[in-house]
Amino acid sequence: MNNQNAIELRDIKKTYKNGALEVPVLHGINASVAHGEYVAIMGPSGSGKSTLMNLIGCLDRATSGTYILDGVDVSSLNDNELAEIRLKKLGFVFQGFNLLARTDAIKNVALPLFYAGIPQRKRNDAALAVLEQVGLADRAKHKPNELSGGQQQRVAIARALINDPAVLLADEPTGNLDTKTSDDILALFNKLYENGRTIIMVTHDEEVARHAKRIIRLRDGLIVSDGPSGA
Amino acid sequence: MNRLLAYLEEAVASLWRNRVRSILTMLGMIIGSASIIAVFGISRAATSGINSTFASFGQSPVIIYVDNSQNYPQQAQIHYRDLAPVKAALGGSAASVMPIWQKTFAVSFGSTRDYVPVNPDSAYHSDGLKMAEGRRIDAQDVNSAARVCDITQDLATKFFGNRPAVGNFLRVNGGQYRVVGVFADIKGSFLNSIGGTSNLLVPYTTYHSDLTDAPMDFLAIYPTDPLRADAVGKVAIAALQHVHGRRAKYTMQNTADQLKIFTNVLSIVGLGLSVIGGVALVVAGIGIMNIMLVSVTERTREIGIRKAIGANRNDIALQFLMEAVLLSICGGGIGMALGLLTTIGAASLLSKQLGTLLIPYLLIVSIALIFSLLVGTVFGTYPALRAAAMDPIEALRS
Ligand SMILES: Nc1ncnc2c1ncn2[C@@H]1O[C@H](COP(=O)(O)OP(=O)(O)O)[C@@H](O)[C@H]1O
Ligand SMILES: [Mg+2]
Repeated sequence: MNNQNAIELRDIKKTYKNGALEVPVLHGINASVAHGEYVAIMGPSGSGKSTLMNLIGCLDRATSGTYILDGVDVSSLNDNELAEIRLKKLGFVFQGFNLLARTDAIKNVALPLFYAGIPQRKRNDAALAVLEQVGLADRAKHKPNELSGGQQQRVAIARALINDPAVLLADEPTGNLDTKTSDDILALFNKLYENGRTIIMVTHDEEVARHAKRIIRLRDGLIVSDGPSGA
Repeated sequence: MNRLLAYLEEAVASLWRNRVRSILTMLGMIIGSASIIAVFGISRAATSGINSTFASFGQSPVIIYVDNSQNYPQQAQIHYRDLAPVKAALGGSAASVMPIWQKTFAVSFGSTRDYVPVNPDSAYHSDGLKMAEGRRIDAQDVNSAARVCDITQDLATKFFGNRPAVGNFLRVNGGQYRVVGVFADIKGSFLNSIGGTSNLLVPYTTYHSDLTDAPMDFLAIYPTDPLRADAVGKVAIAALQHVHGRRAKYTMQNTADQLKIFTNVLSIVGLGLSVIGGVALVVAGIGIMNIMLVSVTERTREIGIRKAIGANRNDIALQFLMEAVLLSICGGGIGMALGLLTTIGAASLLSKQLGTLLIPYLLIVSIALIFSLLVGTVFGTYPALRAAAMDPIEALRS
């Protein structure tokens, strides 16, 4: 682990342009996340959490500002370079799981390694190992529709972890799950945090946010508070 | 390579998930490919048969006959005695000049008796006809107007059965003719240089002295240089007009030209049918493009997921292109198999008429593969690029 921050955001602004209509969403975000931190991003609906998360996740580019991810300035990379960053440095967990349907768990988990050009045998071994970590090794051959919501989300987490990302990003990871299952997922995040994983999680739920060690609060595209969660 | 195989596996899995649709999409490709292959295969096989039949003709003669539209065709009739002046006029430019009569005579052996077409023959043989036994008519036979004959296999069987034909005698129009040769079975009755499978050939000198003193039906000239056939024919006609008067009119037929026209027509028909097959392939390609566009739209979310976890434009484009190419290759392959079966079936029917046919298997397989690959690539590219250009966030939101 190097001594740089995992993430550095400097005066990040984002304006959506729909034809002539301009929708400013982020008005200058400054924040940094050190390696090994577990951060929750909170805020009311429409405050720009997902927009920020998409920028951090290199799925989108800021309108202005500088973004340094794991020591690399990614502000001005092109589409293919961003894809490469997503592949090598980031792991995504979505509210809706976003697994490939009709594709079994192990194949879903191994998919990033396919794009990284790892041979099939190694892919499968690695995928099985991460499934083991999330406690689903016995469901490797199950398809998403044969798994519960919590199990699907754990497969998604395994997929996010398989490339050993610098940062694990989760946008409302428990949003589609019941309380009991949410607690399982949050316990899993906690375990990953304890093992040194950097985690950034978006949520609108105070209960959920309390599991993180630090909470960044957004309102109308600006950070209104940033501090320890008290957990 | 490993990478491509992995994409191939993905593509197979994805097509298999939508198998009914995949098969329906392939149908156009199957029909297009099958029809192209069948048309191409059959026309190539037929051409090979016709060419080999023509090759057995050997060098084709220039045929000269009386133009019957003139006022006094009677005066222009070509007589046996005209041979000498024609030969003299032609000199070294003709390898052989001979009269042709097309007559039928009573032929018998013992109690077996039938009317048989009898042809004149010279000692000049440019055709590739093979003998089952015995020999062709030679210069000595011609010079001495010998009563000898060559007969086809059919006649040998008809008159002699299992007995040896060569050395035996046939009665032709009352005279005794010694059989000196039997032609090997002539493969393909469609066309051959002696005009049928039931023929008897005698030296043209004998034909004139023993069988008929009528004017000849045609004058056949084998030019020394086949490329100068027309010029040779004109010289011969001039020589005939010198004998019969300038008003005597003759028609010249260059058989080599006619064969060329025949094969040209055949290849034009083949080309036309191939164009129709090509149109079918384009339609099939548009079908593939259509289905791939539908597929890209339906799988927008999948594309978003793949991009989010790190797939780049090329990865996505390759995946969809692979599916399109796989569709076209599978369809093209099945079509090729059907087309080949049709070709083989048709060739076995045609071979009764044309003799052994050559089916260009290697050519057919490579054409089918190349065309399928081309259709899949050309029509799969646009949908693949559309998929590759999708914005990951938009795609995930769908
Ligand atoms: N593609 C877009 N085009 C225009 N406006 C957008 C787009 N995406 C999000 N927005 C707007 O940006 C604001 C923030 O959205 P979002 O980041 O999704 O908020 P949150 O996740 O905090 O609910 C909202 O007002 C939303 O309507
Ligand atoms: Mg949101």
